[in-house]
Amino acid sequence: MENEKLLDKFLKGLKKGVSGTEMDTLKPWGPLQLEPYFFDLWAKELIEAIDKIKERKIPMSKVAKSFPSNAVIRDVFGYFVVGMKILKTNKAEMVDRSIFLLRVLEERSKSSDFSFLKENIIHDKSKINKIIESKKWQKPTKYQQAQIGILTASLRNLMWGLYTDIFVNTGFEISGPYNLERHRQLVIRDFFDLKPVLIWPEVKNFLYSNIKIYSIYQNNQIEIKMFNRIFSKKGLTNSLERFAIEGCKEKDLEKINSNIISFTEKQQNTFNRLDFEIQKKLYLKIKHYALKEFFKLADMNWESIDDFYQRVKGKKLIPPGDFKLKPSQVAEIYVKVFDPRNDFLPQL
Amino acid sequence: MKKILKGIAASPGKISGIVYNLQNNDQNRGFKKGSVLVAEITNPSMLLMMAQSVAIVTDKGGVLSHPAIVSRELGIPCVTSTKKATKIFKTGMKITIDGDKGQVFYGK
Repeated sequence: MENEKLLDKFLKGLKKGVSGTEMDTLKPWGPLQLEPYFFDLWAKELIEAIDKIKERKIPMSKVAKSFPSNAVIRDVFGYFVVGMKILKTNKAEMVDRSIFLLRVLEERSKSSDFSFLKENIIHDKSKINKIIESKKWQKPTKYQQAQIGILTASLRNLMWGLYTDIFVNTGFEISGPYNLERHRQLVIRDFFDLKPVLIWPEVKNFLYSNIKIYSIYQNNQIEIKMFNRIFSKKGLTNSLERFAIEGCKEKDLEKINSNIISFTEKQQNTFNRLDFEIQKKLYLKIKHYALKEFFKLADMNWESIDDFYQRVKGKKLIPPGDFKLKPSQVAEIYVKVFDPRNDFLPQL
Repeated sequence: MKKILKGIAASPGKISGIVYNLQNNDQNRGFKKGSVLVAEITNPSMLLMMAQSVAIVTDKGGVLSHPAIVSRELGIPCVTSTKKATKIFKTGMKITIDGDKGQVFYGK
């Protein structure tokens, strides 16, 4: 797909993906409360990484594998464009480097619309057929339907606790819907990094490293949008027709849920109790952790956050009142801000 | 039924239930399984309560907010961004939530 069309399509998906976002509900803080202190530094780092990767002629397939999920690439895109605008990068270079990220997304996606609008397709048909044939599918009882709902919600919840709201997509990917026969759709929720010990050494004893939940829904209309967000015409639990789980030795769903919920609570309390300066350092570490494999490809040290911390050391969060946007305005503004073909930045 | 509030349709389904208002709650009345959870906004430490609720109504948040995402996974109706649910609904009130249209009504 040519560059202009690719950008237009991405921005259209982004507009749908962020519609209705209320900035001040994100925890522990919104993206505009700390990020503006170092938008430019982040862009500089990414420019350096992209240029080194291009210089080394690293295959796109390898670059694509270095990102933890499609949603992370989409997350990174916006901050990157804003940073380049602040750096006053010339437009041709801005477009070129933005397109690089979209090409990575294109490489990871196995669908014609690059998974921007209603789906996140990362497996081709033959892989899906293998999954359907190889899993030990269970037909859920009403009780199990509810427990699977709690399991998916609690794991999603744990992501907030481990990676914060802003970088939540670092530890999981929801892919699908993969359309099957008899009005059925497969959704795969892959929580691939439940023990990020490089950020949180204390989580090393958590019972689960990764959990994959395969869910087949019947007679529902499921959509997966931009940032790992699942939507459905009808309630998900009642339409769950088959399921399979990987990554847990226990069979008792209630026990698994209880383990995850209590661990999440503990993790949330750990973060909340930390000194504000330590919280800021951790936030910066999580931000870089999401791209650690990408930085490694460029032979850069992903753990180097000192320059970033110096920008926020002793600084307060920027109050939400300074950039209060109505939910209806958010999508319009985002699309303009994240378009590398203009130099628009809102006056905060 | 009288429509009381309009918010954002964050998770589909329609159900009636008894309110448990987290912000404006009589301390003597604990949360009961099967309640409609009414809160300003939810957060990850509230999952257990959310999982035991039949619906969720919040003052803040869009379709991408914590209550919306968790409700959809739990398969329960949710209306967000009502602005004043916590001020209007007292614990013990009976209300009906229409998560398809983003509406909340008094009674069953």
